[in-house]
Amino acid sequence: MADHITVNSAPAAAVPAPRKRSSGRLMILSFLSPTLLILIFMVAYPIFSLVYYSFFNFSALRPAVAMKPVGLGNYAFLLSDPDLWQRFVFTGKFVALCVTLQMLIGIFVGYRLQKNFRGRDVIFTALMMPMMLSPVVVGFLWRYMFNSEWGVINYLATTIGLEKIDWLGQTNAALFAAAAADTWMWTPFIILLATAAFRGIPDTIYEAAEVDGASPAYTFFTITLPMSAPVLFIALILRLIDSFKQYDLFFALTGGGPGSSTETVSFAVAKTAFSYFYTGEASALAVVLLVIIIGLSMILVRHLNKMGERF
Amino acid sequence: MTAPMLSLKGLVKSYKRKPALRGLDLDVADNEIFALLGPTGAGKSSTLLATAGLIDLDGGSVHLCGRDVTDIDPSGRDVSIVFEGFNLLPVLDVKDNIAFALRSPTYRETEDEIARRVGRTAELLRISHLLDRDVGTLSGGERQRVAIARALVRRPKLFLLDEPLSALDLKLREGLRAELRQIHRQHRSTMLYATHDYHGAIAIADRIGIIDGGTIQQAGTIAEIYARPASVFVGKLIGSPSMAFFEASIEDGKARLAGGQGVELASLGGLAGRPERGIVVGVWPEDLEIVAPDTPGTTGGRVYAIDNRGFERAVQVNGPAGSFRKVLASGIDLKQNDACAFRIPPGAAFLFDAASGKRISQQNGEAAR
Amino acid sequence: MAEIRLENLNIEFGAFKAVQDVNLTVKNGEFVVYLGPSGCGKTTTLRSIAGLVNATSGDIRFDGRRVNELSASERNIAMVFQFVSLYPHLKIRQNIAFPLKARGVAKAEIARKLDWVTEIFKLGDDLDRYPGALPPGARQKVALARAVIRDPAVLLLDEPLSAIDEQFREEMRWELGHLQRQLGVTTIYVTHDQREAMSLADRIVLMSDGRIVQVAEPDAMFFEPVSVFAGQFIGSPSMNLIDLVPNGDGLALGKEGGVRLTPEKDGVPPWVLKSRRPLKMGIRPLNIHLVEPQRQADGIDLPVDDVYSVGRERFFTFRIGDALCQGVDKRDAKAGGTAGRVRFLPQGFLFFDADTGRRVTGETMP
Repeated sequence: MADHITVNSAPAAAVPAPRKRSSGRLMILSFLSPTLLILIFMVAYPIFSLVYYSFFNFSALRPAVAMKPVGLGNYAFLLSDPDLWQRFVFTGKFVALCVTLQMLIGIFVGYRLQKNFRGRDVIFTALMMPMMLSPVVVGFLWRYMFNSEWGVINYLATTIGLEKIDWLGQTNAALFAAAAADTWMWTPFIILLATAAFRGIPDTIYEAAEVDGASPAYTFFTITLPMSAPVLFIALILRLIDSFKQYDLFFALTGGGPGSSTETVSFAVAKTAFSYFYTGEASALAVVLLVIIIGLSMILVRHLNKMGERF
Repeated sequence: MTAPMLSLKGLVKSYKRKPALRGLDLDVADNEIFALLGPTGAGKSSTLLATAGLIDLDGGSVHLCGRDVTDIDPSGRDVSIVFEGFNLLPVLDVKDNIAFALRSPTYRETEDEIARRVGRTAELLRISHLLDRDVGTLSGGERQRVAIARALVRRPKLFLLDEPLSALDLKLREGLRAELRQIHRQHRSTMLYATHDYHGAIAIADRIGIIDGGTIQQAGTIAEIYARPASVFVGKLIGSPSMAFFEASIEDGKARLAGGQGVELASLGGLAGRPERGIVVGVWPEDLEIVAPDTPGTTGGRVYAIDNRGFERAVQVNGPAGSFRKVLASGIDLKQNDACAFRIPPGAAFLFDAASGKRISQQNGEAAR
Repeated sequence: MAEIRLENLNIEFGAFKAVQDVNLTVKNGEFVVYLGPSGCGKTTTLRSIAGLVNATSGDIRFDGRRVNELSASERNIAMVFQFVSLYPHLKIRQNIAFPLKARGVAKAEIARKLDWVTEIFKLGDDLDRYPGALPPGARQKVALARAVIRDPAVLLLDEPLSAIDEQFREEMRWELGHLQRQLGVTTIYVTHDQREAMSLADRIVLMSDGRIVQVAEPDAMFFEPVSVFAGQFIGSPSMNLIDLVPNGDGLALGKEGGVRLTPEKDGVPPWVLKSRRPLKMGIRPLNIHLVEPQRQADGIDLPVDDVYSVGRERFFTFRIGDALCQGVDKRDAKAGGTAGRVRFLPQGFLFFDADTGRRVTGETMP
């Protein structure tokens, strides 16, 4: 028979004034500081420098020499440069092509792969491989495949009776070639996100739809797609931003050629900064690029928040 | 007159500008089980956490055994708490979980003493056979007992339980409630038990406190609350089925139900104050009498639905003044959509102010029903 | 509206027999509840009627017609699931209309049916809101509306109230009862909550381990359970189960044999004493009364442990040896006087075979 519980065997000494409050905050700060420091040095500082330099006629090769502030001179120069506009157009075409292809293929494949079946995991893993390669490597890979003389693509073309195409020597063909390479590399990303989105839909929703008499196609368009919209939208944003700043791929695939017709805006920034060393001008261009990307992201994220509220 | 074991005075607490406690006052006597009954968000958990010292208060004070412990750390208050999710440590086995507090610097018990106490507490809760098991392998009911054992083993002055049974299924809940009551009766402890389940509260408590919006609406034994419910809110929470409410207005010294019976105000012991926006008449369903339709002095209605439980039948009646549910006396046979009427016997009604919800009839100091 | 018949239904998943030898006829317009603990096969049976699970053997017939080969959408059934099954990205109005739109019903007809359903379920205010904005109880009402709008052959509900808060659950239960009776649709409802089953069902199908234990109306389930399992599963507080042990040439209650039975006084039937097989006695809490200590009367008399009252009912506990028993006295408190003892009412005695758990009566005694 146990003792009465009211017998108190614990020490009665009270601990005065609670120490909880201040020590908590100090701990939080100390845990956050490494990350904060990194963020400041690796992100905030470079961006501020970038904007700063964009107002100067500055070359990194000769930092000491007359750093003349030119105000908006760099920007004015850029905006009046017809070549630059041509690059924007090219970049725009590239982005549109890539994103469209990747989303369509990605969603379709994701849809097929959402249910488990024998061998699914193997197929899935294999599909993820292209994403693991570095863009430069992918660029070189496809460069050899697109070689107009002995490349695999042209070889296959001739076997089905087509003529050899000079892929990398003509601007439009190069555009498609680059889009093909980028799609090959990044569609798996969309597949990944699409599959995750589709699988995130509870089974009972599908069962309810089946019981309600909806055909698989009807279900896909009225239920699966709309419910996956937020995640697919994220995928869209990410691919948009990414393909907008594409550089490595073009560097390896075409070197910007023929001439400079396949130079993206990013490519131009790199060339201006590290070939010509017009650092100020390059900074200005980089700022323009930054503003565009931030602008795009903001619009899209706001749209996403509105969507997210619904669920 | 001994000081209450626990005294909460004017507790105030807000979470990010959303108030959780708004001046809560509560006394729990020594060796009492006090149930804190209220819906989700009423402030039950906040009250328990404040009592234990796990949250900082914006205002008010906490007194244990007459001593002000508001600024004292939880470890110095000699209070133990069983959480809704049990909060067992997954890395330790059952006996180490139970012994955990005893090994902390505050207690510094010897290992022998610890083993002895753990053993006795485990026996009390009938989990002696689980002492070496891993916490993850236990069922819900077993985990519940371990959580209680862990709180009990320290022999605290005050025992706080935050919806400890809500995660369990019905049968298990009933069994454990009965056991908790047994343990309390045999070993005398003071418990503050928070729950949203009316049946759970009355099965276990000596006194009940109805909490809503961060304050206590009414506190007392269930008999006291039944005899003099303080407000419409209390009436809606208590009873199975809970109190029936009807719209009414005052005319000629009677409270007349919309479309029906007039209840003599005199039979209710007079009113405290004049209601501004009309009144609400409340009656415990057990007191309502179901009679044939169109009987004079009654209010008409129609049977909305029947609940035939086999051993008893309950009915929901909808009428012009309001609807109510009631268990039928045997012999009354009603079907869905039947017309019927009901009468409020003299003295059975409570009058509430429609605007504030507070009771305004004085009930003449009537005996508990 | 249809009559559902299950004939020799067996459902196996690999080696696991989820449902075994189920035979049942659900009459047109009836409200049948499958009741049982988790894993007893009730949900699997329901889903096989829906067409979401294939039967391994046996027939499922709607109005005599075999439907095993038909898919869920072809069977004209409607279902309300336990968890979210409303389409979160569609407004309530579109959710409810979905089944009609998916089957290509004409717009005018959809509008007409939508009005009809809105009227019955009182959804007027919520039509243009999204499911996320409604509390769970209201959501299930909408799910029900969506199910009913098509005039299905049978309405299937899979624990629809489990995910809802206690207080709203009671509201919904009454609503469901009212609606089913008004609409008259054949309904099959699955739950593990015996209170729900007792309140809603015309008949209860109690299942355990894939088999049907008992099929009966609520009062028969309550007063005449076929086994210990059935007796203890139904009823809250649970039925008390007491061992009967030999004591001299008679019987006594409890393992320790503390309380001797004297048939003339207790109301225990004579055949119980003559039984050659060991028996257990079951008695429901409401068949136990509180009485004054000194009253000389018939019945088994035991000291009471603890009493607490709620409203008109008095709950109490008492012990037989080590076992804790419960009772509920629903009579007016004044009739009991100063209650100190409990008395078992003879009409409440239920006797079970101690080994098999099956209930035995005078006629079935060997």
